[in-house]
Amino acid sequence: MGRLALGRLFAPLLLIVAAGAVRAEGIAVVGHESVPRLDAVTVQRIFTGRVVELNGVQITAVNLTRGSGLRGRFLASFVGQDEEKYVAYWTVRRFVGLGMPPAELASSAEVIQFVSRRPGAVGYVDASEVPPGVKVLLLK
Amino acid sequence: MKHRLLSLLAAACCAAPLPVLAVDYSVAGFGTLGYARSDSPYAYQRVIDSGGTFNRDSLFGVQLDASFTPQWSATLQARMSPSDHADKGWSPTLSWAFLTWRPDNDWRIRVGKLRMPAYLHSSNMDVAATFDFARLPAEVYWLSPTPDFTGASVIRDWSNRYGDFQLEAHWGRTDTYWRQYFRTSYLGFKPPGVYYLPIELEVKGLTFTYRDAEDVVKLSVMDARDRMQSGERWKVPTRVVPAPGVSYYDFIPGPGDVLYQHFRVFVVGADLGLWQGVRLQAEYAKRKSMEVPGGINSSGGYVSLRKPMGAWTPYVYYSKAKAAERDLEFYRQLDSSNLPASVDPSGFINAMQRSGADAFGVLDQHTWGVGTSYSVGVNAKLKAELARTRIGLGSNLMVDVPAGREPGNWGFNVLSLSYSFVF
Repeated sequence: MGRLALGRLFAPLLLIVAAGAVRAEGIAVVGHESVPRLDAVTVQRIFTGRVVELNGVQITAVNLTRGSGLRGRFLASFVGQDEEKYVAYWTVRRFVGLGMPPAELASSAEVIQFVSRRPGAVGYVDASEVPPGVKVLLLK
Repeated sequence: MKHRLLSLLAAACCAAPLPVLAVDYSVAGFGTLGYARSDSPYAYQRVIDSGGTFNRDSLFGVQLDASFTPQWSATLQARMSPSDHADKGWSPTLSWAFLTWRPDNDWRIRVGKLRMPAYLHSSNMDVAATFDFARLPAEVYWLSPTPDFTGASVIRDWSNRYGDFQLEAHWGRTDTYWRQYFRTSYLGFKPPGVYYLPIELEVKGLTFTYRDAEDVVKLSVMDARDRMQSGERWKVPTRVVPAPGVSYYDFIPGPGDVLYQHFRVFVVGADLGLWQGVRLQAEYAKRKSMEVPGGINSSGGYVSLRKPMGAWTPYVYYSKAKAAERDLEFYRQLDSSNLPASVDPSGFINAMQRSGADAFGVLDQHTWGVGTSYSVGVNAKLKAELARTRIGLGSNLMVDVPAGREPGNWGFNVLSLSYSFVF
């Protein structure tokens, strides 16, 4: 077998190995099966309390706890606010009687579990942490 | 009104069945420890004088939010604060107690004890940690000091690429008090001092709000009427001319007196980002009495500039309140009445004119203020403000000037320090 033939044999193997090493990057907005796919504007409006229902499905959003790096990236990327502005926004909104901020969960695993079980639930995890079977509503 | 409220509540409940689900609830709280001191010996805004006081801005409150389903929720807010019907002492108040039905993203129907939505800070005026002023400008916020009512509101939201729009209609009633300060004996019946007149207020209004990522604009119109809880009628004074060149106003009950005092309030406000992070906030409120001439024919406004700089947000503002010129002239005539002895009984009539001036709420003042807030984390603010207020003809709605002292044409300074927090 010549060198060229050996190269042709190993090349596909190299490609397969390379593909396995590439993981999804970014933030995945995940949700229950009942929630339709979302656009960025709708995600922002869900996490700021202005959307609570989509196509007849009552939406329940969950955040990660304050201080989480992923939460900070999500707020910057999807809501357009930093942590301080987001907390201030919800403080005013709560004390003018317009509702409570989304509940907070401690880890991505808890978010996955919550959205898998609760109809209408929407949360977010690192794109690399989405297990099979969980619905991705938007990836950024 | 109580039966109508119950009917509304029943109808709202029947219109959308309430599934039995676990209740999500959350308790939050807020408070302010505020100290204010002026260099005036006379009480300003009930309690601020040269002795200093914690009883102007201090308060503590808690709020319970309960979510039964994504559509149904309830909110209770109670606070402990200086009494609204006495100058001394504190009293508990149930500020809010309402049920909300939100059938979809765009509609919200609330029934219960609510807050009138007219001003930019109507709903969060007690939560000082949510704004930078040490004290919301009294020249505007004092024009409608009764913010809460029992009734209903319907809110419609919609949005487009320009921003979010909201229209809120509200109606209801409340029992409240009108504070009056009499410099001298009121017609010989009551000793001089402070009196809180119990009144019933019925109100309905429409508020439009535009909001985008940075700016807010709000317009509000309210129609209200009030009556004395005692059933006594509001006096409509009549002018009497006992002799050429001599006149006075008669406050004795007469057939022209009215049971209800009808007035309208128009408010416009905006909070806008300008340049380099500077923000402009301004409001204007106009109150017009429809039947009884009174100091509540007033207008007030303020304009402020502030600039967040890290944890610091310095600000400066100018605010002004003034009764209508006709009402100021009426007050001046009453206050300066000096009938000659030839008009009998001049002593009694002059006293009646003074009492009429005191009962006639008038405003004529302006304030310059400079201050700053300092954010202690995301949940608390320290604030300091120095304000200079100048009284024009008189402002008996806000300043208790005793007999023998000039009610107007003087000024004073107020230093305010406070710590506000939420949790």
